[in-house]
Amino acid sequence: MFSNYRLSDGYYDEMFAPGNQIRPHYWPIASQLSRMPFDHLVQRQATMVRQMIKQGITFTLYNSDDGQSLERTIPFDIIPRIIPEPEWQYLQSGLKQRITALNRFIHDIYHRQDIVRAGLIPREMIVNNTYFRPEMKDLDPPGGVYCHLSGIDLVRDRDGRYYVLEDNLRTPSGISYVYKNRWLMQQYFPELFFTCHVSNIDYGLQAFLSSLRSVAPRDDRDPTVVLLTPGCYNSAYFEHTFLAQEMGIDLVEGRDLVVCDNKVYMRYLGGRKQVDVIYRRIDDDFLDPLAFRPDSLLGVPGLINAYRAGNVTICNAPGTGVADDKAIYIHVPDMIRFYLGEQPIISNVPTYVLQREEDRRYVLDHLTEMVVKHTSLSGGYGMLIGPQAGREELDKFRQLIIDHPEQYIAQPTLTLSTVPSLAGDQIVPRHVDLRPYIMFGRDENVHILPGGLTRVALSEGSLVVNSSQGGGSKDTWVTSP
Amino acid sequence: MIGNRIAETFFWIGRYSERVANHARLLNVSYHTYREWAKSEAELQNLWQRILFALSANIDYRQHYQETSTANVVHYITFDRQNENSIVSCLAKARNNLRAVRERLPSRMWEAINEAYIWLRRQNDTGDIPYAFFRRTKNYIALFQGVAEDGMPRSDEWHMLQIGRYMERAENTTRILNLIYFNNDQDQNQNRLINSFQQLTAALRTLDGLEAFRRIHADRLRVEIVARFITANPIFPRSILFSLLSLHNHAEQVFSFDSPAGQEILDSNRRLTDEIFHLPAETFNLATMPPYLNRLMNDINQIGLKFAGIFY
Repeated sequence: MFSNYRLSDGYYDEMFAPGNQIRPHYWPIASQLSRMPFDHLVQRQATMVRQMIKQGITFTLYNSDDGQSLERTIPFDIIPRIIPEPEWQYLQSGLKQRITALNRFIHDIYHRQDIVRAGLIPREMIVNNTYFRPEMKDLDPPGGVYCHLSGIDLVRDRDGRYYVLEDNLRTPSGISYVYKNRWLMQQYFPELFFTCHVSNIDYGLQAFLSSLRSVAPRDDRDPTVVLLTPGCYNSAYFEHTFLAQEMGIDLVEGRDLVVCDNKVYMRYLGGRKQVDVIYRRIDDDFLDPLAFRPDSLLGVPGLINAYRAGNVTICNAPGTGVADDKAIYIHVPDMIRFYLGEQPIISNVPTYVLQREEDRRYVLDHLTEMVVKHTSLSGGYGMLIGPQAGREELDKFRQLIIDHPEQYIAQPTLTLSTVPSLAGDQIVPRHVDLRPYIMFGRDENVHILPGGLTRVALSEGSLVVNSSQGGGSKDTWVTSP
Repeated sequence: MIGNRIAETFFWIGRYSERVANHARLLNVSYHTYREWAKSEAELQNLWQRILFALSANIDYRQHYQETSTANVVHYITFDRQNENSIVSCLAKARNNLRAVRERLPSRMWEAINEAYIWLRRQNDTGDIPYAFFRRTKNYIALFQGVAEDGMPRSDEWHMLQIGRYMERAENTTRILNLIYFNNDQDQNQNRLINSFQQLTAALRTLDGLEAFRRIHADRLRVEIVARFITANPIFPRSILFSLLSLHNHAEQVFSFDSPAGQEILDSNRRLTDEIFHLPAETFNLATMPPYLNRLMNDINQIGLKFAGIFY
């Protein structure tokens, strides 16, 4: 089955070492897959995709030609990405360290701003940040938690070293795919699990629900937790329904909630019920038309006042975006040293700050080798991939960098690792990244879902894994022998 | 008013069809979780042994099979015609009973069971994807029950069908509950958190009740709370209390006041539901539950036996 597999030069492959030796953690499934006729594998994958459509495991693409939104399944690849347990232990400790530092950073900049006083981060970088929320100043969220659920994107360089690509601290999506991918694999390919021990992920949502409940403002009653969604036209609506159903909490829209005397209530037939914790999947800007964007129809008028009065907990806290900005990203290693007195366990991708004369000159001279990103956009929007860009696009970004150096960062083009993937009638290397999901609770308690979401760029040579740009996903296993 | 023979036929159609779906759910969940729990082949066999024990099938099983392997147990509970409680045997019996009364029923009810049986008869194993096999089995039963709900007049036939269904359900839920305590008892030295989390969610999924549990009890997945939910929740349709209450409602419709045997069943069922409704929370603790559970199983069996006796 893998006899025609050709490694791409200069990339780290998760399954094959150079010379086409199968890495030991892939031995059990390699032997199982190679006993299987190729067309069976293709059929299984097709069955799984049909099942995804039946279950409505879809996301919505905006901006189709006829003005209607399109429902798509996220392409799914049947060959799992496997992380051996010791490697996972290393990643886990690095992620734990990073999220702890980031959470302390957010607390600090909304309080004493020690890191600014220490001269490590310029004040204007914080106060001019799009995601900085002055409303959060001196506010103490229950348990000191800002980032209840986050996703930190990791990539592997050619030598197999892991790097942090970006931090997603606002409303990272994709966790439902981790569960659905695992479910599909377990139901439709059960024998693959019988030869090795794959870490169970079921406990993750239990942990998340417990951590949401633990940050309720009052502990004298059973807390009411809800998930606030922008509604069924949102691209991640499937995920919202999935999380609400799995955790047994109510899925609400802004109009289902009402604020009265600085308390939030959910309307229901014949009455109302006080809400204690809101896991929101709405951006800060739209949360409360009285506090932020006045034209928002998605939010709840008065919500921020209720929050400031300490009568409801919003998760993730408003204003966490200040720490996942791509310009702040450069300073995360400093945060880890400053707040924890430790060296970063997982490094950042080397990043050029375009406001620095020297960095900017270097980047403009090497634009065809660079990835340029807008500091506050995500999801693959507003991004230049130098080696794959045409003349016109390069010129456009050159001008953008010269005009607004503060809005962009540049990184050398990454060599994302590859995993064997099914493409038509053959198995070929495709580039992947990894988004582990991290739950941060009271007393800096961290729970990390074993594995996370492996996103895969499905076309040959492509390095863009975002689902909004046509990327797919794989089940991700942490295995011990 | 219907004759004893007809009443009994409907009672057993209700029981057998419910049993088919219960076995399918139990096997589907166990098949996918047991390999993960078991650290060795011996441990895996041990887990299957407990299933056989919970189904009171361990003695019969040993007369036909040597090893308690996954393949053997799945075969025994699904396809073995020597096992009178296997899925195929139950489906065959449900079909035979239905055939005897099919002219009294909406024709789609017969078709649903007949189609299921014809399909199952041609299968020798659960195939590459056991999940798909069990889902199909459950879907046939869901179709059968849906068609009945939709089209059957609420006559005595209907009530007898429901009595059979809820009688079977009460017994089945009690077996699953027993399995939890049995497993917990054996797992004392293992990693408790994960083990009990996994086995409690598996038990709830076997009863299609994990989502319902979450909505009521959120993250409080502890054995005493799960056990109380499974036993005494009044709105979860697979709880023991719900099953016995439903049984009662239907029995009240068919037993006339001058039937002493019928009144006796109603009386003992009422005593049992009252007792369950008022069970103190401490009953469900690991130490106190097993003896109570034994008594409960016995009481439910007694009601089943009384039902079986009333037809003669």
